[in-house]
Amino acid sequence: MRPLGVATTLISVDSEYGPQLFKCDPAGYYVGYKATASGPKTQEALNFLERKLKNKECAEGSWQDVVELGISTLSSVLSVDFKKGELEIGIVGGPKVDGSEGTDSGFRALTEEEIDERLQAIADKD
Amino acid sequence: MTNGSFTRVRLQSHHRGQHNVSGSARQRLCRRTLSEESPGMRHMSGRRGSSLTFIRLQDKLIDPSSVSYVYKLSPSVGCVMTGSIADARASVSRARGEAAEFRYKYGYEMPCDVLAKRLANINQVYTQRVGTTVLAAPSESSADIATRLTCAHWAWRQR
Repeated sequence: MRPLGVATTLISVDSEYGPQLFKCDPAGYYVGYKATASGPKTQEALNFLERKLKNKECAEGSWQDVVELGISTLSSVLSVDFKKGELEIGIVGGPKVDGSEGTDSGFRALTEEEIDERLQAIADKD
Repeated sequence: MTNGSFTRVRLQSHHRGQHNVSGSARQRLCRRTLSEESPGMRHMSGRRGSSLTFIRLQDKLIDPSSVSYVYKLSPSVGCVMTGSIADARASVSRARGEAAEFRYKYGYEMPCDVLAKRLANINQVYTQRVGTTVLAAPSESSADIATRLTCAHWAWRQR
C-alpha cells in the first residue's frame, strides 16, 4: 500500500467547541486553522488570508460574508473572475432550511443559484 | 515529468492569449491535458464554516457538474479534498466508514477534531513503510519533495 496523495480539509460546527476547521496531509500531520488553503498557490492564498484575518479570532460577519471572503481570496490569488459553474462551495453553520431563526449545524453544498447570488454580491460591492 | 512542470504548462494554457505559446508547445500541452485525469484545482476555507473549491477545467468538453471535490462525511462534517481524485474517493469512503462506526458505537456524531485525528493516524501508518511515496501530491511545493523522498522524510521536512 502506498500513501494516499490527498490533503483533506474538514469543516464542522462542534456542539462543544463551535466552528472547526482541520487539515490533514498524507504524512499524518493535522492541525486546526482559522482559515486555510491548499493546492497550487497555497502560499499566496495564505498570505492573503493572513492579511484579512490579522488580529481577528475568526473570519467575521454572516455566512455570506465568509463565503464572499473565500471567493474573493481565490479570485485575487488566481486573478480569475468566476462564473457560477466554476465553483463548488460547502458550508456548515448556514441558515435553517425552513427559514426560521438560528443556524443549521449540518453540512451542505451551495446550489449554483446560491453561488451566483454571492458572486453578484461581490460584483455589486466593487 | 514532475508535477511542477505540468502545472507551469497548464498556467501557460490559461493565459494563452498573453503568452504566445509556440505551436509545438501547444500540441504537447493538449496531449498532457488529455492524458491528465484530474483537472487543475484550488481549495480554500475560512472559519465560521465554509469551504470552497475552484476547478479549472482544461478540457472544454468535460461536463463541470460531474466534477466534485466537496464531500459530506456525516450530517455535521463536510470536507474538501485536494490532490488525486481517485485517492480522494478512497479516503472519503474510509472517512465515512469511520464516522458511521463512531456514531454506532458511541451514540453521537463524530466530532470534527476526532475525525481529523483518526484520518491523520490512518495516513501516518502508510508512512511507516520505507520506499512507498505519494504518487500525486496535493500541492505544487509538496509535489517535487514527495516524488523524491519517502513520505516519512517528507513529514520530517514539513515540520
